[in-house]
Amino acid sequence: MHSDSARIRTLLDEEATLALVTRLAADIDEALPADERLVLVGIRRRGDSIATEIARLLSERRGPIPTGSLDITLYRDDFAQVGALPRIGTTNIPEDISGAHVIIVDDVLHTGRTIRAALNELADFGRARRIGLCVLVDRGGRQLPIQPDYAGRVLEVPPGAEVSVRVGELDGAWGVDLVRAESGGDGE
Amino acid sequence: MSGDGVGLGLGKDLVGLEGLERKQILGILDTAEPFKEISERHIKKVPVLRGQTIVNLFFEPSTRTRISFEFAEKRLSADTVNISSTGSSVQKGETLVDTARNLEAMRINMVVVRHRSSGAARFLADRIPSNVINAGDGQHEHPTQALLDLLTIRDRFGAIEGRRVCIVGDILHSRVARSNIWGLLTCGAEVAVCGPRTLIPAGIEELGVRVIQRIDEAIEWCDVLYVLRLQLERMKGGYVASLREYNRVFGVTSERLAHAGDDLIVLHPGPMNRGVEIDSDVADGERSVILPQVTNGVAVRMAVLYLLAGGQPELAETAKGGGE
Amino acid sequence: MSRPVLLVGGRVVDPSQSLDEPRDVLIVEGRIESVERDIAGPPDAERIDVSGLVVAPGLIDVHVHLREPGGEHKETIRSGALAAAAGGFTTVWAMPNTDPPLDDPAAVGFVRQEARAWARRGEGGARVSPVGAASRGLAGERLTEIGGLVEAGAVAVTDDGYPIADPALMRRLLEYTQTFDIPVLQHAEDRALSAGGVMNEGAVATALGLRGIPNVSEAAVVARDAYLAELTGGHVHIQHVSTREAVEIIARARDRGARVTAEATPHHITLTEDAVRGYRTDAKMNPPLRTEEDRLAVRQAVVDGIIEMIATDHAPHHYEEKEREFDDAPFGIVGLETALGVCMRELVASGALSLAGLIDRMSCAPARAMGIDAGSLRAGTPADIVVFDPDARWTVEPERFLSRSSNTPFAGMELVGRVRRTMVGGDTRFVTD
Repeated sequence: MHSDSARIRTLLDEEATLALVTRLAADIDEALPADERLVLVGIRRRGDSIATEIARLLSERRGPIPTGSLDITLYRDDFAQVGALPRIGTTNIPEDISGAHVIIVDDVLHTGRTIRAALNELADFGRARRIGLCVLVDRGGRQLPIQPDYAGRVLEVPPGAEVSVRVGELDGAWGVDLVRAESGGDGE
Repeated sequence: MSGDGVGLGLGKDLVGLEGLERKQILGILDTAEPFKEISERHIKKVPVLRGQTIVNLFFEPSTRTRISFEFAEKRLSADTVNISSTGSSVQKGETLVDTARNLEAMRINMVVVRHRSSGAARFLADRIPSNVINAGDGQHEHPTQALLDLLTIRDRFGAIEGRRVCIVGDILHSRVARSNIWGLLTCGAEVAVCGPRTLIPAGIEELGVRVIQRIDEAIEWCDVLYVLRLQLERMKGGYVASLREYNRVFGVTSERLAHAGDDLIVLHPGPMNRGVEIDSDVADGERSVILPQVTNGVAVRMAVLYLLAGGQPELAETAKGGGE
Repeated sequence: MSRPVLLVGGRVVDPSQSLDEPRDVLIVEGRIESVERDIAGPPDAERIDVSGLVVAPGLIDVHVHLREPGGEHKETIRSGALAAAAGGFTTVWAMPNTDPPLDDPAAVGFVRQEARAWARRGEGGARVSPVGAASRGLAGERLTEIGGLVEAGAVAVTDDGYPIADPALMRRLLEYTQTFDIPVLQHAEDRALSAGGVMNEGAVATALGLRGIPNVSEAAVVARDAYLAELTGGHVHIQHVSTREAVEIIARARDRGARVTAEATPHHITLTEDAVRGYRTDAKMNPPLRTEEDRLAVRQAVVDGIIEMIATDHAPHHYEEKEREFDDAPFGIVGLETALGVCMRELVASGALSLAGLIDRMSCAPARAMGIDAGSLRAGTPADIVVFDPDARWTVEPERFLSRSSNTPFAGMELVGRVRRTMVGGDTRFVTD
């Protein structure tokens, strides 16, 4: 995703990033009753790593939390513009979400369209009692009326730049970077 | 997104597997994986082709292929229209050309076509701007069948490369055989054919395929036995003396498979003539992957429709980046 | 027409006189008067400057389908004769598979009269000689009244586009035609072996999923008919040779003294079965385009003279008939207007055959072999002449053909050699700059 000509500046190192994750888990734990039937669903590809980590932290206090992953490629609203993306990940929802409190977990919240797609897709799996949203970074720039219930950090991002989250299992180390394309294209 | 968001460059149509590159074929199989999962869901539908109209244009009767395509289309939320037409032998030519013109005038997004003449899919693809998917043209190709067969083989063995596949039966008249030959060779498998000499087409070795005379030798050699249906018309054409003779010499029976390697699997494109080319206990037995073939068929067809409908690789490149 | 014509400054190539030199040609009352250097000529002669051009005996094509009567949407006698003249041909033999077929004297006579009538009206092209059917209705069962057909103008008999399949019938034909000293033209095909075939049998057909026609379908019939010619002393002419096997058989039969002549088409010496890839119906013909090995064998046979002559098998088909699935499209391509250009490019420009050799194959040899009073610029012969630019390069544009049909695989190809003027009996039937 990063071309050679991109400039990368690390905003949060691994320690700071993991601290955010820990705080998010604590916020969720505080906000919800102990017996809440929770399912965490992470949006592929990094949201699900974050979801797994949050679930691990929560399970220390609440017992095992079922965690799933959601690939929203087939629910995007821009198929006509963007076309077929051959790398579609698998979606794996571990149990029936009907009646559960589902928390969607994603790395970066921007326009809100990914979350809209995730909501549509989740609806095909059952009628959750309640759906919440937890994001590591909220960079603003919403195009739809969607807001997080739990946000790690709110960041202002200059035009032409992207926020990129790194997770341990995929990228080696956790972190949050600001990525600028050398030629400065528009971010989306 | 991973770094591989660029489209497969399949172009407007899927007319055959001849000429496709290995990475394109494997890319289609990879794309089929998530579609398998969707077919396991309670709600077996994704909205990605919502609003698109797909016409199933079947000039030859077919139940299973057409239903498989219809399932695939509906699970992608597309609108489907089925047109069946046999056409008289005199009018065939006009029918196809005129049909092409009518489809163009109706602004159909995609056409799935099956026709009795080799080259009919190419004929249509060259004349209309819609995506054209070949569901079987004469004796030429049936690419989605071969793709689901390749997927089934890959599911069982992990990879197609290095596998030994023997296709048994009426190769001469089989578009399924031809598509499989192209797909298997491109993906690095070794391919052989076995059957009555009268039904092995001229020059098949030049395509890179071995000819094995007897089925026992074929079973000893291969990991994958692909059994083709023997059509009754072949008796009329004098290619084979009788069904009993065919079963006697080339039938896939459990006795013959008793000496096969443990890994050997059996495929069949369906519908089967039980007791002719394949015995029931083989078709229903442990080596048979005939039912997984059918399941994979819907997933593969969903993948193909998805890839062709969205075939804009330059735009896919832009969509690669950016969290939302 | 009665005014003498003097062709000035051309290069006369007349293999019948072993001539290839700068000469003028004087034509008086429709016949060659003299072929000499710097002819002064009578004062009222029409002087035509042909400097830089080749002057040769008009080309002869013993295998064309003019489609009239019955198929006028594809071609007519008039349009076909004009297309022939545009291709440099001064005599063509019209095949009898029309509707109704040319199997009775009235039908044969009609074709001859029709061509002459157009010529009298000043819209004539090449001379058209009808070929009569060998069997009634081309059904391959009973002889036609050959004497009657010959009287009405038939110059040969054939059942082309069908083979004369019954060996006993072929024997009778080879015996009976000797009375009239005409050849039996054979479209050599064993229809049991070729059944359902639409292209050459082999790896290409297998890949395309099309039924193939094996070489032996042609070879077996050629062998049979060569022996029958030897047995009977009759003259069999093998049409459109496409296989290396047939070439061998013809050569050996010739060595044994059998009266076997043969023709090859420009497309069979130029193209192979690969032209069919993509299901191009303008590469579908019978006999089909075959392998490179066959093509080279046939080409070499033409160069060596084992196959004495070139003939086009000009087979016009309407665009819509060819615009269909390969299996259903009719066989055949047009050839009159591209023959010289294709053969010049394939044989002469490549160095395989001299220009004189090509003129021989396209004019002198058919005249000799078939007993046609043409193919020569000797004094006294009818002034059937082709004038062409041997070096001109031009691109084939089928929509500009004079033929009513444009089904050709040579569309867009660059050919060598362009006809500038065609004269029949001294009368210019085609001219271009």
